[in-house]
Amino acid sequence: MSHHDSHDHDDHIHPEPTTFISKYIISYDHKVIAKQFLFFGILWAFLGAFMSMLIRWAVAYPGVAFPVVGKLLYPHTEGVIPPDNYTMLFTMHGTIMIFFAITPILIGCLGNLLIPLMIGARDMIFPWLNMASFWVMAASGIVMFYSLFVPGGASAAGWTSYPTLANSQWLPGSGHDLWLIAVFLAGTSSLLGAINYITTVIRLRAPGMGFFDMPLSIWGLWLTAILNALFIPVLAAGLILLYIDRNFGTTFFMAASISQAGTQGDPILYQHLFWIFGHPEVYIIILPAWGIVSDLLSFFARKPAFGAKATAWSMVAISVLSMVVYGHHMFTTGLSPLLTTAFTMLTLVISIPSGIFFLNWLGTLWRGSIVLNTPMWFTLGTVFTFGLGGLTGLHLGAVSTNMLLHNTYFVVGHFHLTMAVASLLGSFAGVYFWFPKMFGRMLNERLGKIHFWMTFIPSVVIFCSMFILGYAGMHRRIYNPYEYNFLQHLMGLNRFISIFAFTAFAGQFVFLYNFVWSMFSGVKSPANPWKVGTLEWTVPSPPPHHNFDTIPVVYNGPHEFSNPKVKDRDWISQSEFIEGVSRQPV
Amino acid sequence: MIAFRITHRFFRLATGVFFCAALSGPLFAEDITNGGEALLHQQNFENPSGQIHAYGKDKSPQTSFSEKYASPENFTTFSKPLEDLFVYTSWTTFIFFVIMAGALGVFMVIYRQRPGHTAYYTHGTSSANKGVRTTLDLAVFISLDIVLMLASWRDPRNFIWNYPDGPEVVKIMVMPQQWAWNFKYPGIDGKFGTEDDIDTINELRVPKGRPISLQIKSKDVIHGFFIPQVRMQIDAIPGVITKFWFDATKTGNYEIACYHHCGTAHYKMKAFLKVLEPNDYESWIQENSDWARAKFDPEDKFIQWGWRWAPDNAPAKTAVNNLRR
Repeated sequence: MSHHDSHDHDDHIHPEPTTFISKYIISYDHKVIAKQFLFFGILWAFLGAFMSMLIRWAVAYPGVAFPVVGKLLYPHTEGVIPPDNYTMLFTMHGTIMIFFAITPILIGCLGNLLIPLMIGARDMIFPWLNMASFWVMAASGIVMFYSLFVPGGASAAGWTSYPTLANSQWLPGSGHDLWLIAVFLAGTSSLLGAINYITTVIRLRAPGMGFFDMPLSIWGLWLTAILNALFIPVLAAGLILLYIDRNFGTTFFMAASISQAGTQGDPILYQHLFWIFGHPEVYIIILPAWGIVSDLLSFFARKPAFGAKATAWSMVAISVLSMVVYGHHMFTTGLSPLLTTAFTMLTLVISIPSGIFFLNWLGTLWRGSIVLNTPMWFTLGTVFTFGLGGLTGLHLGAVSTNMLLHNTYFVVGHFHLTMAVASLLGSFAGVYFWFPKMFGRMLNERLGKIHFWMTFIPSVVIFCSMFILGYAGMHRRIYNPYEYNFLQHLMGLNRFISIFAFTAFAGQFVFLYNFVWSMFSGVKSPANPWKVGTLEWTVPSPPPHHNFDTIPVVYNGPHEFSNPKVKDRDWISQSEFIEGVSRQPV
Repeated sequence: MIAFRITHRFFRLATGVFFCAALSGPLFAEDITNGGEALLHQQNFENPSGQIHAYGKDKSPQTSFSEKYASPENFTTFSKPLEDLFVYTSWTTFIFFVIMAGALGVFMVIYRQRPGHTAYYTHGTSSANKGVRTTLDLAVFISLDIVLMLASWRDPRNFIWNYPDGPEVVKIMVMPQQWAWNFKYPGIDGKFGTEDDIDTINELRVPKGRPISLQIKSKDVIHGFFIPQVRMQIDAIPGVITKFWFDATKTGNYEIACYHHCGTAHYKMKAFLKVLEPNDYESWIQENSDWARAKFDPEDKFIQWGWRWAPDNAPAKTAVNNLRR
């Protein structure tokens, strides 16, 4: 403690809460809040995934009753998914998966768990804000869930909710108003979390921990928080304007020709607002996964992260670039050719930093000593699927190829591989890896590997087949593609995709079983089961309420594996001082 | 040995997944011809030649995979570069992907943890490491990004948003609504807003071999104008005129789709495109202009939609305010 240079580390330890409510419900403890986010996210992820099963069924078997529960869900059509319900399904699937599944699991759970533990802090800097962040999210979840059951049905304007379809004339139900409120609240939750994450990382790093001594997971989460703090307000602005357009008769997004007031608004304005947020959002979702992957590759290749500093800088570069490329979502609205060219070039420049950290990942594996356990399989799966998704992004970023592919299944395949599959596999890697730290028990390896293969293979098959669908001309969000003659030959391929989708969904129940079973009956975990050196593994599993008895001092980088000067083991803790290996304390 | 075990384990699990898929075989077995034929009969499209360009329908069983799943055949004179660029980008990204996935697979096997093997301690900061990384990154950048950038500079200026002008251009106004397509032709006098304007619903007739210039504005929500054979798309936005053009080198019947989610019946917001021989087109216009003039009713405001034709050199998107007549 002699090099204790930050006045933010108070040496007094808050007393542990004793009542059930203060311990588990209104908890200020980042570890409990992380678990709350995790359970919340898993619950919603299953609902969202079930909706995708309905979607896949409708596309592959039009007019056929959904098996088993179909009659229960759609009694008036004897189990057949009706077209208006189909539009609600893809809207809610997108919304739920982005705002209620991936965001809580990857950012809410792993962010909360990892940031204080990995930087050597006792808790987040604003514990109350952290607690509020979860409960705003919970309120948002309640509103969103309620919106599924209101008369007129849930929102049906797509997750992007473009006016004028989302205006009250064309979507009169209260479902969409509730949708707007719920997404606004979810955004508020992310914003509260983001403020907390940014400040915690800046102020509460353990003595000796410079920015480049932070694990790359923290880099990913930190950059995500910065993007969230900058761009959630833009989304919020769009949502509020749309809400008052719908309810109070303003015409921000209504063209003069269709607004009853005759005042001139612009529906394209919403698209600008939405995508200024929407493009950073895909990086918000994938950056933590990149960080986790960068760390885990090093941990299980037993080798320092290759070019870790370059990886961190390229993540920074991508975060900056992500702010100025959103126009590629709007090429077909008829942007001016100058803007189009500019957005194309900026978008394509992203491939430089992406290429750098991608090659760094391969560099980490190069001449490593690779341990193939479940977290590592998921990590490698993330690398593979992100490679696929990232490369196909080039087709969509350039205006010339975008002209063929805009709003086709090619887009669906591309963004699912990047922001759905890659970030989900990344979250799974994180959950399998940090589960012992969260619950003090290990997840079952065998079930984990079954889960991996049942997720990975179908995901790749499903979304690569969608590239074929897209090039064949199948456009998005159509209930029955076979209305079109030029799409009729795609029914076989659509069934093929759907069967793999059902397999992937079944695979998630293996995870659910493993998760619940291991929480209570898994093998007890030691403090450091994976033999890695980041700070969270220096404390017991699960950590005590105050995390660290004494705040650690950092002498080493996070990825010091297989250092030839250390003879008895292949890892070094960040907080241990080894003469001739560690750098001198500052 | 471990390599074998890894491969074995992979195949065992992969077989499991495929077996699960095979178990659901009965679901999959129903051949597309059944579903496809049934749906074809639902067509109520009046079709004199009796032939719609349905892909897959007339294909013999020998049709190769790439033929079966190709985009519908391009019938324009100009949009081939977009298609070529797609093919080029796909192959190049595929090669890089194979290199990447190959490296991933090879590293997993040859650098697996095993007794007597230790990891090589490096932070990847040597100049050799940086050199290899930079070279590979630049290879991707030059072979893909530079090509795509140049094409994206060239194509919008050459043809995507370079609208044709001149007497041979066929001008048509398009106004989609939930869930139909309205088309308006200037008629025999070549002027919009006159008595001989021809209106059609869900049917676009165009002559072969002449450039067709469309100006599009939505009546209600945002729609998207998509002819798969043209390889280009444009949004239809309320309050904004967007422009689009194409030409057709083949006569026949084709389909126009709405690609932008526009409500419950979005999936069947379909129009038909008939490419006619120029003579047939002219006589169709003549006949219908006469008919329109004979039936013209100045009280019927509903049919008199339209806007002042935006000049051909105006930007791709033009606010309607400035063009209200």
